[in-house]
This record gives sequence, C-alpha cells and structure tokens, in this order.
Amino acid sequence: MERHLPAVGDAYVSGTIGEPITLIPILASDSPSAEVCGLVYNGLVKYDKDLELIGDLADRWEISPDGLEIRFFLRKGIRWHDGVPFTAEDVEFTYRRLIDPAVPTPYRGDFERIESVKVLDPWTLLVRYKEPFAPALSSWGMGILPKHLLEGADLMRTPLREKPVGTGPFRFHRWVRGDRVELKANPDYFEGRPFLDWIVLRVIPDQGTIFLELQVEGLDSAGLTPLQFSRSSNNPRFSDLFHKFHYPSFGYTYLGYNLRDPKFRDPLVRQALNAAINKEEIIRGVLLGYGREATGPYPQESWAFDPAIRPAPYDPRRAKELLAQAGWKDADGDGILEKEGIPFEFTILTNQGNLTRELAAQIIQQRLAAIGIRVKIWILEWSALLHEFIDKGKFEAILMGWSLSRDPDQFDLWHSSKIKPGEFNFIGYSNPEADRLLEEGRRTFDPLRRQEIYRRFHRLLYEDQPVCFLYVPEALPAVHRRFQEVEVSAIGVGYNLIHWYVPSNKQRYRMEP
Amino acid sequence: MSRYLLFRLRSLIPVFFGITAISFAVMHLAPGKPTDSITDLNVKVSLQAKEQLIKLYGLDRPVHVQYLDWLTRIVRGDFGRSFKDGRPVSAKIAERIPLTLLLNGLALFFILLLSVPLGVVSAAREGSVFDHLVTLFVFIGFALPTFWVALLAVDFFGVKMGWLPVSGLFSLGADRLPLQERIADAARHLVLPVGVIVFGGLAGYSRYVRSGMLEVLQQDYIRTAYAKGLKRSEVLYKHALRNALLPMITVLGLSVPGLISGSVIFESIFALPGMGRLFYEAVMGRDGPVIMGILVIGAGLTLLGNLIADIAYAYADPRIRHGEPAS
Amino acid sequence: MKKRCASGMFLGSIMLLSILFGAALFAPQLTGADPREIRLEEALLGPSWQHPFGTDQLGRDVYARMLYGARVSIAVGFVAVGIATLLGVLIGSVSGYLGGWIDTVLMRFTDIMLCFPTLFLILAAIAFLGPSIFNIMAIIGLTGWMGVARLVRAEILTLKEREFVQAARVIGCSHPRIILRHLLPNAMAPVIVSATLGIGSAVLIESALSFLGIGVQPPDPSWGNILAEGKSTLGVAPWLIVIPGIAICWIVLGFNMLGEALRQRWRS
Repeated sequence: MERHLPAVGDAYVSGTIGEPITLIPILASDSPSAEVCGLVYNGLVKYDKDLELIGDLADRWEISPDGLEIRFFLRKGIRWHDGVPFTAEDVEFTYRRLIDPAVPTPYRGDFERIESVKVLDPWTLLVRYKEPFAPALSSWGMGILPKHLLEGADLMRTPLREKPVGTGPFRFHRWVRGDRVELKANPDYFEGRPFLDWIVLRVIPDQGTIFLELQVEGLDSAGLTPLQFSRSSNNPRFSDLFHKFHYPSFGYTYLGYNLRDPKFRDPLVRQALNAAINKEEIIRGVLLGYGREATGPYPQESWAFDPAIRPAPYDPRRAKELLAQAGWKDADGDGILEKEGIPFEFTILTNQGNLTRELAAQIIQQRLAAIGIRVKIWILEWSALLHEFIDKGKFEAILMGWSLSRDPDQFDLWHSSKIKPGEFNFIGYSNPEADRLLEEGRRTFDPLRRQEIYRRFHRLLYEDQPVCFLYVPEALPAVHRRFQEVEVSAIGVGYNLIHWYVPSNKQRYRMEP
Repeated sequence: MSRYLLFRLRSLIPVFFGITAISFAVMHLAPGKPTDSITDLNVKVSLQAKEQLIKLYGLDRPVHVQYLDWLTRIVRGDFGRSFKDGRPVSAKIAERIPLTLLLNGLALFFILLLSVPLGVVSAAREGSVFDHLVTLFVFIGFALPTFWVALLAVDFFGVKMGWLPVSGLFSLGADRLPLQERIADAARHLVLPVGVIVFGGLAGYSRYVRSGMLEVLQQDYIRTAYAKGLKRSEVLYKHALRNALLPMITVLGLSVPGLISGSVIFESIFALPGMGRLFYEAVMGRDGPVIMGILVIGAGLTLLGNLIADIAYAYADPRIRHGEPAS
Repeated sequence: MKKRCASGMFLGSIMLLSILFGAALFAPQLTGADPREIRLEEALLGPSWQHPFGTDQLGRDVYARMLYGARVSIAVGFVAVGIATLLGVLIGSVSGYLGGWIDTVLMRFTDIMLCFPTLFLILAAIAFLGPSIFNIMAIIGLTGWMGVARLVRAEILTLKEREFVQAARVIGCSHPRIILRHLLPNAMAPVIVSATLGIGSAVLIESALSFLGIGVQPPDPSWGNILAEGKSTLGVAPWLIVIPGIAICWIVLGFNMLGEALRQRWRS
C-alpha cells in the first residue's frame, strides 16, 4: 500500500439512524448521543485497543491495597473548549451531579457505591468507596462536565444539552435538527490536533437509505447489514471506494424465558430448547455467517469467557428425550406435546424494526414446531414491549439483545435482587450459587481470581440455561478508502479517529474550520 | 356574513375540546411509557432514570388533573416540554414545519399546475385516446404506494443514474456557497421528494377538475357561449373552468392540514426532518407533550381549512350565506 | 360515448379483480409450496420455473407467499370496509333521520374523528390490543367510517322529505323500519361506490403498517411485509420489491376502477 504524509483537512461523514437526544454525557444513553459525546468530552480513563484501561484526563492513578481508594493524578494544562482550565473541581462537580436525585441519569448505580470524592489539589483527586468495587475504575470513563458552565444549572434545560463544551478532540460546531451534527477539530487538544477538520454525523432514519447514500459517497462510513455486507456491496465499484471491516460486537442476542412460568422453570425443558434450536443455522441464514454462537453472557473477546465451554450441538432427538423426561409427550397425536393435558405452546415477543430478530424468531418457530412445540411470534413496538410486557412480566419468551460493558460484572442482569419491575433481571432468574459468584466477582480485585469467578459463572449459566444464548453478531462497518490509519480493534474502528488523515490530493471537502 | 362566521366559529369550540380530550385519553390508555428508542438494552444504562422523568413531569397524577393542567397552559400558548429531550414543544414543531410546508406547498403548486390542464383537456375530449391515457395514468398513480415509488425513484435516479442526490436537504458545506448555488443545491435535493408527492397527488386533483368540467360543459350557458361563436379555448378556459374550479375550493381547504402533516415512511426514505417523522417518533416514544402539540396544531389547521372552504363557498353561493347554515 | 367508457372501465376492473380473487381462492391449487416453509439453502433465488417469483431471505417461495398474501389483503380490505360502512351507515342514518341534538352530537363527533391523524389512532390501538390480522382490520375500519357517515346523512336528509317517506310515516311505520326499508335502499348507491373505493385505501394502509413492521405478524405472509423485506434486500433481490408493489397497485386499481365505473353508471 502506498504511504502518504499525514495531511490536515477534509471531513468525515458518518450516518446514524436516530438523532442524538442530549449532548450531556451523564444523561446520554442512546448511541448517537454517546458517539458525539465521546468526541467532545473525555473521561478520566478509557479503553485502549487491547481493552486495557489507560489514562485519558487522568495521567495516572493509584488504587489502595484494600481496594477502597483510588487516587487520580490529572493531566495538567488541559483546557475546556472555551479556554478555561480543566481541574479536579470539574470531576468532583460531575460526581455530585451523578448522585443528585434530581438528575435523571441512567448511570447512577456505579457512583452510588462511592463514599466520598475529595479534591486534594487542582490536579489530584481521592475517591473512596463504601466497599471494594472492582468495576470502579472503568466507571470513571464517564465524560467529565465543565463546572464553570453548569454550576447551579438545571441539566434538563441547560443550553449545553445542544451546544456542548468539552475537553475532547473535536469541538461542537452546529446541530441542524433532524439532519446533522457538525464538529470541528480542536486545535488545542492535549493529545495533538486531529488531522481531520470536520466530523459530520448525518441523521438518516432508514437503513436502506444509509446504504444508498454510502454508494453515492454521501457518507464516508456506515454499519452494514449482513446482506449489504456480503451481497449488495460485493461489486468492484463499492470495493474501490470502501474498506469493509468485520469484528464481533460486544453483546449477544438471546431467547429469554419468563422463569416464573411453570413450563420454563424446569431446567430439563430449557436444555431441551437449547438442543432444539439450531444456532448455527440462524447464524448462517440470518447473519450470513457474520456472527458466532454464544455459549454464555460473555463474548469470546472478554477475559471472562471460558473457552472450554463448547456450544451444544443441534440435536432434536435429544431435545425430545429431554422433554419426555420432563413429562412432555404427544399423548393425543396432534403433533403438539402436552403435559397434564396442557399443550406446549408459547409466544415469542420481539421488537419492531429489527429484521434480524424477526427472521431468527421465524427459524426458531420452525425448529420448535418440528419437535412438537407451537410458537407464535409477536412483533411489538419498543415502548409497549418494554413497559407493558417486559416490565410487568407479561411474557412467555422474548428475543432480545444485550450490549455489554467491557467489565464482566453483570450483577444487574442475573442477581436475584434485581427482579423488580423496571430492573434488568426481568426473566426472574434466581440461583443462590449465581448470586454468590456475582457478589464475589465485584468485590475481588485480583485479575486471576476474578477471571476464575466469572468463568465459573459462565459455566453455571451455560448449564442452567436461564436463557437460550443464541449468537454474538458482528459489527460490519464500511469506511471510505481515502482515510488512512483506519484499523479494526477489539473496541471497533473509530477508536483512533484523531490519527486518521486524508492525503491532500484525495481530500473531498475543503472547508476551513 | 359575520353572523354566519360567528356561528361556524362557535361550533368549532366543542370540536377542539373533543379532540384534545380524546387525544389525552387515548394517549393514557395506550400502553407504554416515555421511552428512548434504544432497542439493545445496555448493562450499564439503567431504566430507572425514566421513572424519575415521569415524576419530574408529573405523569403520576390522575389523567384529568393532567388534562386540566395541560389545558390551562395551552390557553396561555405554552405547549410544554418534550419528555424525550426536555426542549420546548413549540421549538421542536417550529423547526419541522418550514420544511414540510415547503415540500407540500411546492408539491401542491406543481399538482395544480399540471392537473388543471390535464383535467380540462381530458374533459374537453371525453372518450378520446388522450382521455383514456390520462385516466389510466391517473388511476395507476393513485394506486401505487407512495413509499414504493419513492424507494424505486431514489434507487434509480439517485444511485443507478447518479443524477440527483439521494437524501437530505443540502450538501455538506453548502452553507458556504453563494446564495444562488445554495438554492440550486436545495432544489436538486427537492426534485425527487416533490416529484414523488406530485405523482401520487396528481390523480385526485385532475379527476376533480375533469368531473367538474364535464358537469359545467353540459350547462346551458356553455352552449350559449358556443352559439355566440366564441372560440373553443375561450369557452373552456374563460367560462367553463371558472365554475368547474369552484368545488376545488373545498378540496383545497381540506388539504390545508395535509400541508403540514407529512408522512413518516416518505420522510424516512428521503431523510427529511419533517412533521411526519416528529409525530411518529413522538408516538413511538410516548412523548405526550409533542403528540398533543402536533394534534392541536393539526386540528386547528383542519378546522381552519374547513372554515376557509365554508366561507369561500358562502361567498360564491349566496344561498348558504343567507339561509340556515347547513352544518 | 360516456357509457362505453364506463363499461370499458367496468370490464377492466372485473378482469383485474377476478384474476386476483381466483389467485386468492385457489392458492392451494395454484402452488404446491408452503408459504411458511423455511429452506435456508434456497434463500434469495431469482425467479425460475421452480420459483416463479423467486424466494425470500429465508428461502420461502414468494409465489406461494404472494398467493396466500392475496387472501390477507382481500380480507383486510373487505372486513375493514365492512366495519367502516356499517358504522358509517348507522351513524349517518340515525343522525340524518332523527336530526336535532342527536344529529349535532354525532356530527361533532364525526368532525372530531376526521381531525385525528389515522396513524395515531392506529398505532395507539395496536399498542393497546396487540398486533394481529383481526385487530388491524378492526382498527382500519373503526378509523374509516366518517366519510360514509357524512354521505349517508346527506342522502337521508334529502330523501326523508320525499312523498314516499312521508307516506310511510303517515301509515304508522316504525322509525327503524322507515330507515331500513325506505331510506337506506335508496341511499345505497353512493355508499357502495365509496365502499368500493375504500377497499383500495384499506389495502394501502395495511401495506404501510406491515411496511413499518406493526402489521400482519410473521410468518404469515402479507404483501406489505413482503415489501418491507424487499426494502432491506434492495439491489440484491429486486423481485421482492417489484412483485408486491405491482400486486398492491393491481388490487387498488381494480377496486378504484370498479368504484368509478359504478359511480358513472348510477349517475346517468
């Protein structure tokens, strides 16, 4: 490949289906908001491409031997986009807002475990926890807010929701509502000025239109669907213009059972369903091969993943045997299994707008019909699905996905204390052994000990099958070829965006910032 | 006339209350709560923040209390703030209306420009090959789903041929161009969306013009005009068309709300931030204040459209003005 | 001349519709394929002898899905319009015949319903009742009666002053009897025309709902959800978008032409 001298200039235009909601990082929970916040703001720490935590606004830190204290030493000389120096006061202010009951932040959980945050000097900060909390350090990846602009302001009304001022590599330029957000390079960024002049995030609500825009170079990058990745973009013109990447996303898709339902309370039944659902077929047919079978709550890239666990083979005969053991037999010969006269049938709920899940549900439906289980599918819009069915426990089975944090702590998903309406253990899983492992995991700092705990947890869930783990889909981005230094890593493609550049003879957009 | 107007206005008041009360009830009956549209739940993003929002906005109070509260504020012109992002509803609607108005206004202009001559000519030559062709074209245009036409048009003209931009309203950096080029840039972006609306809407209007003309052409005064030896085109466009267009007043009046309502699927395909998308997203996210705001404006415009049509009609037809108003 | 045009349109619409009804009625005879059978190894095959309309992403036969989908579209059209017409006739005739405050209330209610964006009511109702073919038909019907009601009311208003109605009243016929036996039969022509035209728009609404993913539920085929799938395979499987689009146009065209022909026939 030819090499060029890094050159300043050009714009990088990417597409998003949804419009950002708010550009205050501690309130932002949707991915377009998080994407913009990630470029405008910094946390104290961040993940590097090998999933190691490294300093961001913090230069270094020390954790006390008992795990209760973290002392952050901040970088000096950092300025907010408006020129005011960044100090430890800003961090302390952000913490206060995170635990303020009047601030509706979805990230409070991790920060409620803090006993105190003390500013020792403008660049030193002491955080003390009530009890040892292993995911503590990673939670400080949260974007830090400017105290001098937000002191006393209502976070729900402040103009910074729409015009953020951060410390990040790009400064906010403007937001054309419903259409695009434009950011420009921060010439004073503490890691050096980014080469690209502009970052533009275009809001295009239709996945099909995004792909059409990509083909006419109206966008420089977009995530593709498996079909677009393997078939629609498979032509010389597209390959000349774009690099395609694929890497496993940090999450998984699963078929969750309502464990309060007597049918699903029996582990034999859940194991039978696991044997009867052909995950390999779903990956081949729906993801067109761009995904992996999931065996538990961790993707393969996580250090908590236990490689010794092999996915169970598709085996409908074994499934039938297991069901027979559990008392489900087709007594009346109608092709549907019964137990005590009740036929085995249930409804899978999934959300509207996700074709992959719809198709996967239909494949599952056909496979379960083959062993005598009648499945119905309901596609519901998100708000109704979440609040009317999932929150209230009014479901038999759901086909959904989790996006995970890099830290393997999944206390909120599986611990038996998290089954109240609106909490995340909505399947109602309750297993004392799992509870114990989850509690121990978040108390333990020693990496090897912690790995052992979470691998045991992985195995436990695999054997218990509280949900049927289906697959880990791959992210399938395409990026325009004129950008240099683009590479894929465990945390995706854009992690080194500030190093991307376009050789001057290939720049498309000439707009001085 | 003013008495008639007053009567009409008075009858609008209960309709307004009816609409808002029913909307409020439907919104509260419909399951679901204010939600963001993130469908992959994130381990670290708890949902309880939304519960706080619900308290913050007083959604835990009884429906009628909320309705009264909303009414007192709406009377003062306060539409409230969106549950989704805390921005004033009036601002959210205000930034969407111009585009929708522009799009539909342009489309209506072209529809009228094309449908009047189409209708007149096919009425004048009723039963001719031209008439049949127009009828066929119009019926097909009416029967095709708009979103289907939009999809194929974008793929063909935007991607395959590369003649026109695929989506959006302006190119990157267009704001730095001189005014003339900026207008040209926006115009290029508007060709496809406006074209698709025109294609779908042509059918209805040209049918109205055609049937209106057919009726008028049978009248005695037209025969008189011919007998007087007036030229054919003069008779058609001067005498007949004027009367044939009268029923169009009602149709135009009724199309006023359509000018701002927009269409979700259509706006999504062209990535245009119009009212249709705002409304759809608000319904999907149960963003009550935004839903109510749009319904109020929509209802207001519908009623206004009806009123204008009535008045225009009363003007044209004195019987209505003086007699007992037919409601 | 006018007659000829109308009868040409009538014949044309009958032709379009009978092909369609034939396809829906004889779906099992016209194809041996099961519209729901998934065969992943045959996914996205183009049209061929074995699959005249190709296959979809799950390898299902699109020809079979179109045939069975025709049943859905026709059923949605008829049931929805049936409900709308019944409601509209009921409200319109009561309102027109009785007059007075009942008329005022009913007509205000009609005005209110006309002001609502249909989509809002439909989305709210689907969220409330859950998506199913029947709910969708019912909802489209319940939000589509206003035009008919106004039409019937206007007809009744002019009819009720005619001699034969006055005569019926004098000889002591009951109100329902007068409405059912004397008024409605004479007001039916425009209602039938509007119902025929309504079927077309009900089909379009169903396709838009299925296109948004909240219409007919998988694995049942409907033209709308085949089209929705076609959108995501645009450029790879054009048949998935072209064929259902043409089919929707076909049925709407058929009913609209029929309605227009009936209108012209009854007017002259």
